[in-house]
Amino acid sequence: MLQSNRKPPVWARAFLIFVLLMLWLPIAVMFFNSLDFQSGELLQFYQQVFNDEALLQALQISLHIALSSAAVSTVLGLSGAYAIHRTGFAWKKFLLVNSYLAMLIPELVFALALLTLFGMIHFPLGPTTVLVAHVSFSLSFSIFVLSSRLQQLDIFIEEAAADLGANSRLIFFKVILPQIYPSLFVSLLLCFLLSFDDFLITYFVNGVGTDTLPIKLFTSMRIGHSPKLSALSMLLTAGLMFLAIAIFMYRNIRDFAHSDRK
Amino acid sequence: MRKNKAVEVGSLPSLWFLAFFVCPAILILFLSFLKRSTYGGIEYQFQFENYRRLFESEVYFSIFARSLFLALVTTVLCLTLAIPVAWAVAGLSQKAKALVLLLLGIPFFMNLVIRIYSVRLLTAFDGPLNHWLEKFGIAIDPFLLSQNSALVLLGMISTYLPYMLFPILVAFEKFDWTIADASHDMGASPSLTLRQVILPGIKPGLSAGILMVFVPCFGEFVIPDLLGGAKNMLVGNLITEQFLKARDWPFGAAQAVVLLVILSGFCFAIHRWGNAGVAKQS
Repeated sequence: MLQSNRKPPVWARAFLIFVLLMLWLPIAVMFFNSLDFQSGELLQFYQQVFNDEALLQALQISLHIALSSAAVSTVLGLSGAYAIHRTGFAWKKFLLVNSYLAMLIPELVFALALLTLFGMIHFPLGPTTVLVAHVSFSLSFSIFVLSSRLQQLDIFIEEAAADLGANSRLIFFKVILPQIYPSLFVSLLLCFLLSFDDFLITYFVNGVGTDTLPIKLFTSMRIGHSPKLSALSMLLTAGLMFLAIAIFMYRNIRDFAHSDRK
Repeated sequence: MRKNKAVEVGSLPSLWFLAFFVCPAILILFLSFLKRSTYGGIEYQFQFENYRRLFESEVYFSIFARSLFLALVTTVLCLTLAIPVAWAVAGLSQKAKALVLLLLGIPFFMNLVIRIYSVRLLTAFDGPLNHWLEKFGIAIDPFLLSQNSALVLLGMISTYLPYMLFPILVAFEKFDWTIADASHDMGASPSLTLRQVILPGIKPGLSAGILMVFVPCFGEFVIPDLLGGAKNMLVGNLITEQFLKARDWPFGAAQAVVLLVILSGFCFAIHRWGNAGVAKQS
């Protein structure tokens, strides 16, 4: 708590309240739009969402791609992080620079670059191209998460293992891997969320008939708004919100657990 | 450092980046000098036509200028909102801070499309804003209300404010408040302290926030598409149209290259500004 002469001025707090209102007012509107106060059933639109075949299929496609993308990203990310921080890999700098650059360029440029690539080699657009695209932009984040964890590890344990005769493979699987399980989980979750939520890149590289949920949302919203769409949006927001809170709490529990291990 | 005797494990992600990041980037540059063939494909004929078209026509220049202007305004407004808010949050108790951060973070995790949809709902012609305006007797064309450039600005700010907020928050947490105390003790007014002491102190956070807002904002497509209506075309819409509708990929590639050049220049400038005169804090 800051001392009294360091306290932020009143108008700063007013700004805070204003911003909170600005961010939450549309959500509140969407919430009330999704409920049906006129007919008897309050949750009618939510039921319509669950009964909609096309939406459920889009959800399935989204989930498939997001899970696969998370898995591939994390495996590649782990290879990359390990290569940067634990080996004498010649292309270390290349990896590092690329992973930073990939995070910095606008999504639009990324999307059209990939579309250009697929177009020029005449690769058909579909779930594969979407998967490749998703892995490409989430790889940086995976490397980042796992890198920071690898750097936190106590390297003396690994060197002790080496002194006792363990080779690199054994050290990786028996010493490093068990220590990074929580970060692997964070990477998986982060890449899953990035992929599931993605719209622009998917919009560019998906073929006909492989609409993910955000794509379906976008095309429906272009036409107009409806309570059913609001219900779907509320469901997605609530679902992703719980996942986000899960990351937050998991990290706190992990940090708490690790703090008494040192 | 151990040298792996087996295949270098780092080659996998490197190959991936090479194939799906570096290569496509080079391809765009290459593509920008090619020609569009009759049916929307690519004709491999080197030419400067795309760039000439881009620089000669007033239409394209105005689109770039409008996008630049909008991105700048968004960045400035985000700054004016984020600095007081971050200051307010930094001054909260531990518990209140956690709660407020959660409240600020949840809209941040919303899907972009859903967030823009909710803004649209608010201002829809049969929505609450229009309803309340009518009640107070203020007559605004409802269709104009639901799609205009002010709304695009609002959408941009709602989306990108958290990106500005969090680096500045971190900077506030790290800030050495004793310097501000000294300034206060020497008789400076709070606003003077803010301008001369606090702001320069959080400059790295400010520059990070500015970059994280301006860069995506300049190339934004979804927000102007859903909130801007037909008249508000920005660079993002323009490029998307070249690739997905007009099928003039080379022209779109040229626009993308110009976009990247402008962004690189801006990033470089802000980076220089952010690091200038910042003393190394131990």
